[in-house]
Amino acid sequence: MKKNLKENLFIDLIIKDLGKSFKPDKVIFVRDLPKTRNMKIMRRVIKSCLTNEDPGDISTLLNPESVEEIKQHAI
Amino acid sequence: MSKEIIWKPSKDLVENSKLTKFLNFSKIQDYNELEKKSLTDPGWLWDSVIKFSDLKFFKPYSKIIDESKGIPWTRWCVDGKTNIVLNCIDRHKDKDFFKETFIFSEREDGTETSITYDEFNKIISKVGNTLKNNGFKKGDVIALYMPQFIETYIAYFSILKIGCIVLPLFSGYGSKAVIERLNIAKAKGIFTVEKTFRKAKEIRMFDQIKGDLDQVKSLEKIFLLGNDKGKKIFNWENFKNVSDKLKTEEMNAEDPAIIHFTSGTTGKPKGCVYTHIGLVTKMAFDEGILADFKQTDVHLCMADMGWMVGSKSATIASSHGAKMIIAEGVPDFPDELRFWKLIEKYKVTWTELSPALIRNQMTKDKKLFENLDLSSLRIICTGGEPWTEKPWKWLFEFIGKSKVPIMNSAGGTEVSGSILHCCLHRPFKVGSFNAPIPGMSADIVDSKGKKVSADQMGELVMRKSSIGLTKSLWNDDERYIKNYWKVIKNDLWVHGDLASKDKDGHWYLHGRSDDTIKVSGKRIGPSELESVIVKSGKVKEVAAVGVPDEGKGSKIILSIVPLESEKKP
Repeated sequence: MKKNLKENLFIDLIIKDLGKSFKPDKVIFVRDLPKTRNMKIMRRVIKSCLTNEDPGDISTLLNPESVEEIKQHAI
Repeated sequence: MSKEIIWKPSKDLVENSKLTKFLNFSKIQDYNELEKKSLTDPGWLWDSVIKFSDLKFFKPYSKIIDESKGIPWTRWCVDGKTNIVLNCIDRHKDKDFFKETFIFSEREDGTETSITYDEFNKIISKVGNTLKNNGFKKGDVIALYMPQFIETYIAYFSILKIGCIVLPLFSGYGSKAVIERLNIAKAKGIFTVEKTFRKAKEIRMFDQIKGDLDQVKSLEKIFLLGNDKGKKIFNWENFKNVSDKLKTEEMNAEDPAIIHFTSGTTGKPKGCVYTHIGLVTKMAFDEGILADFKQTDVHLCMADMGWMVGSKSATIASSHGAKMIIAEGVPDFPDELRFWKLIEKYKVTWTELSPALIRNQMTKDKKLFENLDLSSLRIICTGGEPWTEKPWKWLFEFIGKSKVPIMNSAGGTEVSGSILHCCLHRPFKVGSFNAPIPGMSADIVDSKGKKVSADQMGELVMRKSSIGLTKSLWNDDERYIKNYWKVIKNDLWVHGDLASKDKDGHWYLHGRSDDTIKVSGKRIGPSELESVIVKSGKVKEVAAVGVPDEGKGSKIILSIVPLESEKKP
């Protein structure tokens, strides 16, 4: 799959600074990331959305609507 | 995964194992009793390991264990004086094998070199003398940013011999990752190389970091294997005309010897600290006694020196006076089957590899393996990430002909070895760990700290310190306690892995319980990835996660919220 320019820009930054071993497979662009009320980004929820798994109880999130958008990028 | 017993050790293997000899030496009936006694009396266990393995001290310890300052601050071998080099090199001087090969090295272009213990001892004395002449003193930190060359091992042991602290860095790191770690550790020197080859691509390692090294204020000297010249640069060939006589520095048993960085979910990389007695004792037990490593073994592991397994490999072979094989580059280039051909060529008996390598190799045409003679192999150690059934079986049945035990183990940088492993006295199941390592007080608990029942998943924890456990974190006692000893409750070490145990006592791992990501066994924290992206000034927010991947174990996905200005065309 051909990656767009912007995606490559971020991938190249990681390779240069951290090394090729940590090259991201994919970069997705979204409007918002799921957060708790004290603004902690819920990586676990993002991960479940990307892998088509049940993200669990998201009612306590600050922005539960962010979950739907990430789900569209599931792999 | 199948929960059937797939392999049972033969009576012969059990009787001739080093574990049996150790049990007899320690006057213990069997592994069950060893587990029980170690749990109530860890000091007894490590004392017994030191005596059985005949580890040497300049001055003997007065007390094996001191828990008076609390479990996280347990001290080992109190008042003892030693040095890793005393146990890995010096003590072999009168042995016949001292004149024999210690390391065989293969470059990617096929160039072969080797070095004997005797030659190795002389060259580390030369390099050690040079370091001293250049003002390096006990306790100074010197980094390694080198591929798998003999010189990497020479630098490693020279630094230790004069009582400096060695900081091995992953040779595949980019500049920012290197600079950040040099700064956290306040490294005063670095050993590096002009170039290496990886899949026929020339990698100019020194050039990659050269421009950024002035950001490391503590750095005084660069020891370079290569031609570049400069104010701070000391070229490798200048080691030649230095005396090859040097006495190994007498260190307190628990003086820091090695720093290996690891990653957590948040914050900067964490420096795990190994002591002069800790790593070598842990290796004597995990690999020497439990994984049956002997002086006659030939060791092969292709891991990078920058990871814990690099220090493991350097210590396992040398502390036993055995031979080891190192190779520049990767296991499947220039020959797809390079790894197995190294085993055949050097008659490797004992190897350590990762499930990622097997997932790669099992897809190759079986015909390629037809004339390969791997009959020298007697032990295959694996670790770094959880197994799945297919690759485990391919390794066991196709490579090991259902005869060579797969000694699966799990631990981490923080413990300088394993917490769970496969005991050679017990039956094996696919991908399981059939026993906890004695002295590690492993358990599985829920989020409240309550023991879970059979087949329930929970946090892998430890209730005691162990001799190989990191001595706090480099310059960060507070984080050491907060990140590990207070996560669930006081004095319970939470390791960050999800584990379960079946009714037969076989343990399984199910990945990380925190947000750290493991790509082909290499751990990285999401915050380190995210900070690179944030620094670009082009994003509002970013989150890095690892999702399962058949080849690499997990792959990294970045979710980015672009800045308003970036969204516009």
